[in-house]
Amino acid sequence: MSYAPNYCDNELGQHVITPCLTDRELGRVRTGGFIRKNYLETLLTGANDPDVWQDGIDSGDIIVVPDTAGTFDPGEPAELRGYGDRATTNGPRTMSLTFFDPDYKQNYAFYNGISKQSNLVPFYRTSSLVHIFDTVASIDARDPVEDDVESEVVWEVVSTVVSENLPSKHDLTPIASIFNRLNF
Amino acid sequence: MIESIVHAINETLQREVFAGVSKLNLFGISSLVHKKVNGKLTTLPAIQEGSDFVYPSPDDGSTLIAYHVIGPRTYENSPKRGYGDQRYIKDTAEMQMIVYANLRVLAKSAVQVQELIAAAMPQSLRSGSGDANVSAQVVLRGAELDALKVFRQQYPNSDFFLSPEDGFFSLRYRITAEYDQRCLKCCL
Repeated sequence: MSYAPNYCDNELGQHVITPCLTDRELGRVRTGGFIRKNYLETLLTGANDPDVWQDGIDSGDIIVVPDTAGTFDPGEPAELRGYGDRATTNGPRTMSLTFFDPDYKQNYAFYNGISKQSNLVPFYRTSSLVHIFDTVASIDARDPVEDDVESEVVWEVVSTVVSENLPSKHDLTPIASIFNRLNF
Repeated sequence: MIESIVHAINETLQREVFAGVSKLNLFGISSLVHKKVNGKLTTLPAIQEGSDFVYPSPDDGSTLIAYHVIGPRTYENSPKRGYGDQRYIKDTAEMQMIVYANLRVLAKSAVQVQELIAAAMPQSLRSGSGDANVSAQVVLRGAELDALKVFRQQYPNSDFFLSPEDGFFSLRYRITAEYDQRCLKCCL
């Protein structure tokens, strides 16, 4: 099958400018979690609906780790052969989501088993947005121990996603209560 | 949180240093108050126990009395990792343990008693329970073995009345804990 480079301008969304630049997004992967692949479409259709989230949590189709620390690395797009005047074209990215879960002691069974899962789609939260990937991840969970009596032992969860699309962004405001630790 | 750490320190000392010592009184956190004693307004340490107050004194017949004093307490953002939307708070309290020891009954010198306590001070503790269970470090800072100095600090307008067999000294230490504020807000 030949590869047809995409020259269609109508697929490019509009660039939005906010007048006062006061609404900034702040860092840290503050919440992490996973969505079962068969619930992803339902969630993406109603990502601003707290009931959709809650139904997913109650059915086990959404797993929320409410308070995390971590990073997201969008990686680089794969470099594919270019055609015509283009030197190269962009392929899918290999993205890496890393978060640390301080709920260490009682989650051995969960994290020991998660590496074997092949149907989980990760999501994460920053200061006011929830970011949802569009495809399943390869997940690795580990619990390194430092030689430091004042250090913490936590679960380090690394999810690797290969996709042409960056995670979609959804406003946290209507669903913020979903991620409150006290609600679990 | 500080109170439960002080309580844990007392329990450690009772178990490891003073097991078998009779008339042992290990108290919590004191503050200096004014009280009329024998018709005279006196400044002396007071410890709240429930709804009552206790006024420890070297002349009450105890073999050993110890209580704690909170000095400056500081809060700052911890460089340690926080989770969710919060940073960890680093909570540091400069503490003193004031100790009276009847040296004749204990058959030890004040220096020996002070060194025994210093050796037994726990270096790390957990305070509280459940989600308020906070890990704290205890670091020794110094000791004041001049009984007159310590007495004047604790009983500033009383005449010095200690005799050679009354050991009276203080041990300075620091409590440091790093925790998520929500651990205390929701769970105390």
